[in-house]
Amino acid sequence: MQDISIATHLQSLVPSLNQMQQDGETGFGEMLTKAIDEANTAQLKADKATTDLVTGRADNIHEVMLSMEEADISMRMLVQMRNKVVDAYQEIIRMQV
Amino acid sequence: MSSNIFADNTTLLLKKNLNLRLQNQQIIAGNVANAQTPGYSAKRLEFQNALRQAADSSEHGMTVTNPRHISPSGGSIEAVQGKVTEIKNDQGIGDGNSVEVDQEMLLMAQNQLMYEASVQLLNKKMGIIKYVVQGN
Amino acid sequence: MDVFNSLNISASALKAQRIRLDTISANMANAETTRTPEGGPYRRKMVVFEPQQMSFADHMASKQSTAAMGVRVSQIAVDYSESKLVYDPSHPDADDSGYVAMPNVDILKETTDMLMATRAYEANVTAIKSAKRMALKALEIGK
Repeated sequence: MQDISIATHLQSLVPSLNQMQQDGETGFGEMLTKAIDEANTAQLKADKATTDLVTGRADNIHEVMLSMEEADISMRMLVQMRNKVVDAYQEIIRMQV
Repeated sequence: MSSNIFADNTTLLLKKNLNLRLQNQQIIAGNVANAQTPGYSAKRLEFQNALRQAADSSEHGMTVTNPRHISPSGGSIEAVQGKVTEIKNDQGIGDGNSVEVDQEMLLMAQNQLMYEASVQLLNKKMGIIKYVVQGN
Repeated sequence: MDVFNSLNISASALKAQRIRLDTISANMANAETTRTPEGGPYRRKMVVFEPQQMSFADHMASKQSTAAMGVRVSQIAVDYSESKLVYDPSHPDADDSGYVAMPNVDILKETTDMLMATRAYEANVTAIKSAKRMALKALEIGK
């Protein structure tokens, strides 16, 4: 058993960090991209539903309202995510190594 | 920044819809007011087809990768105008008035609903933009 | 402004229907009036409607047939159809053969007319409410 010291702690952290990089799905960049895509899709869907309602092609108002609400929420989620990512980045930058 | 974030097709469509629906309200009110005037023909405002064509042609302009990018062919939506048509009463009986009050009431309710829905949708769109601008 | 134009149209209809109701009330009140200042029995009156251009702007643009039109009472016409002759020799207004000329007012018809006027009035009130709601809703843009 090794001595519990800062060195051994850091060494145990390193492999999990490497693993995260290799997964490639949980990096901050990918999460943000996915959120942007979702927000974009939701916006396009809401726009299409609105156009259909206004031009008389669709008949249910509730669907349009729901998709508009979804677009709103996904945009908010994206903005929040961006804020958190920026905060996390700034925190990491501030870390003194 | 020369592009206008309020000039995307859906916003233009909603604004145009508000204008047309207001005009329609007047036409319907005129019909209801003249429901017993002899010889009066009920009027209708036709605009949904024109709106649909304008929306479709604007859609097939340039494709955009982000809904915030502006497609430059939105001019046709702004040019849409409603056309007033008349419904004549050619039954040969009565005083030649072709207004059916219950039909007009139905159209009025529909019109009002669409107007309020458009206002609500416009609000939501503006709300999204506002939120992004504020950032929190 | 367009929204006020809509209200004006409906208001003109309210006024016209009210005049019609007044005429009907006058008819019903005088259903048995056998002598009038002009001589002869009371004669039934009726209103004649015609479309009316509401806004000044439409006059200027001369969009006569495409604009929404209000309504006005163009005249209160007198119904010159035959008076009813009722046999009643004891009546002070009876003529030589004992017949009295009664007004040509049919109560049933006037009642029906009154119902129609009421319904039309209500329909126009609904139109006003609808226009007002739309205007108020537009005020909420951006809230």
